[in-house]
Parts: sequence; structure tokens; C-alpha cells
Amino acid sequence: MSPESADGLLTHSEKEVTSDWLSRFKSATLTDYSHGVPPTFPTVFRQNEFDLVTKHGVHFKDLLHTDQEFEFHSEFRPGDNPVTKTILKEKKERKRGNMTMAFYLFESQVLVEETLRVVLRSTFLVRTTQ
Amino acid sequence: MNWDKGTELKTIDKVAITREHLKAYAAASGDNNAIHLDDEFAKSAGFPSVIAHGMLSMAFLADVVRKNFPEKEFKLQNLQARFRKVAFPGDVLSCGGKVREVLSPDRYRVEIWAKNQKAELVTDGEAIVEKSAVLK
Repeated sequence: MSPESADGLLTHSEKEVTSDWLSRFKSATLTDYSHGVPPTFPTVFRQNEFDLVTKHGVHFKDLLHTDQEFEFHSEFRPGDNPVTKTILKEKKERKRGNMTMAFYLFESQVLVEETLRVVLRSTFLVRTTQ
Repeated sequence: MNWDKGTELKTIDKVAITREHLKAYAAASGDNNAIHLDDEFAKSAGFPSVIAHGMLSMAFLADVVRKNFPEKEFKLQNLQARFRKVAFPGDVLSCGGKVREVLSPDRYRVEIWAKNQKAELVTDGEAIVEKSAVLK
């Protein structure tokens, strides 16, 4: 797990974006993009989220991915060596009867040589019953 | 093509989701959560079988946008999705949408959705596309 800074920012150096990886991702999403990077490719840069949510004691079984957003700034290219910076932007809890619902909103910036490629916002729901 | 508010997008029908698709997506995306790959794990989490990655359905939504707003003419600026219902192996998703708002002469907000073979909403969301916008 990448080290977390005092302000809760988790930084992770990703593996190189390769043409082969992009091709496998295109194929796996059952799409036939003729050129360019599939828009949802940045989902591969979400390991920080799982690391951060695990630190909050949440198990995969209890995690429900409810929302996802990508804000595109510049295009990924083969040869890119991205760096992902992620924070837990917001945590909200709601109670409904004996059930507590906790919403975790993570925001990540993925940069290549300090150029912003994409901003990701991911929301997870964890339900616990008392 | 006229992109007025309310214009329906061309729909696309995807092939039935298979366990092999989920394995391939897990490998390519890095999401190897056992809930997508191991039936026993999925059952222990309360599901009848493995479930499809929500992000796979979001990729289908992106495909709807791309097929209606070709990437050579339009740039996708924002893509959002809400995962409403789980999809399982065997499910067939149909995807479509419509123009929700004309933000400026060449910029559109579109709503997009994916429904299963029972016409149940699996994933919906929106995208913002701009004609001939140049990303650095």
C-alpha cells in the first residue's frame, strides 16, 4: 500500500500504460473503439480507493459501488506513467431503523508528468445492521 | 444529425454477459474482487451467483455515447454513472439515451441508460460531449 500523507492523500505510481493493455481493456469492455482510449479505462487507477476504504475497516463483501464519475482533461497515451492521488473527500452516514448506511466519496487525480489526465469520483455504500 | 433537447440516441444491444467476460474484465481492469469471479464468495455475500462489474455496464454507457457522438468529431468531457441494479452472467443489456440539455451550440448533456432483458434499469447516468473540443 502506498504511503498516506498526513492530510489523508494517498499517492500511487501506476504501471505504464501500454498499447497491449489498452487493447485488452477495449476487448474486455466488449467495445470496438477504432482509436483512442476507452473512456472508462481510468477505472484501472482505483487501487487507492480500495486501500483507503480497507483502512476504514471495510471488507470487500460489504462494499457496494454506487456511483462513478470521470472528468476528462487530457488523453492517456501508450508510454504514460501515471501517478494517482486519492483522498477520501466525504463520508456520510444515514440511519434507517437498525441499519446504518455509510457513503464514502473518493476523489482521485491521475497525472502524467504533472499533466492532469482525468479526475475520478467514486462513491461506495456500506450497510451495517445493528 | 440534429441534437435538439429530447433527441433520442441510437440504442445498442450488447451480447449476453458471460463468466469469461467477467474474467477478462477483471484481468484488464484490475478489479479481481471475488464477487465477480467466485460463485461461492458471491453467495456468501447474498447473491445467487457472481455479479458483473458495475464498471462494465458503465463501459456500455460510454459506448452509447461514442456511437452517437463519434470520437473523431466529439470529445467526451464528463461521464457519470449510477449503478442501480446488479447484472448477472446471462443478462443482456440494451443501452440508449437522449439529449437532456443543449449547453451551448456544440455542447450537449446526454442522459444514458442500460437496461436488462427484463427492461429493468441496471445503470444510468449522463455524459457531456463537445464538438471538436481539443484536449491537450
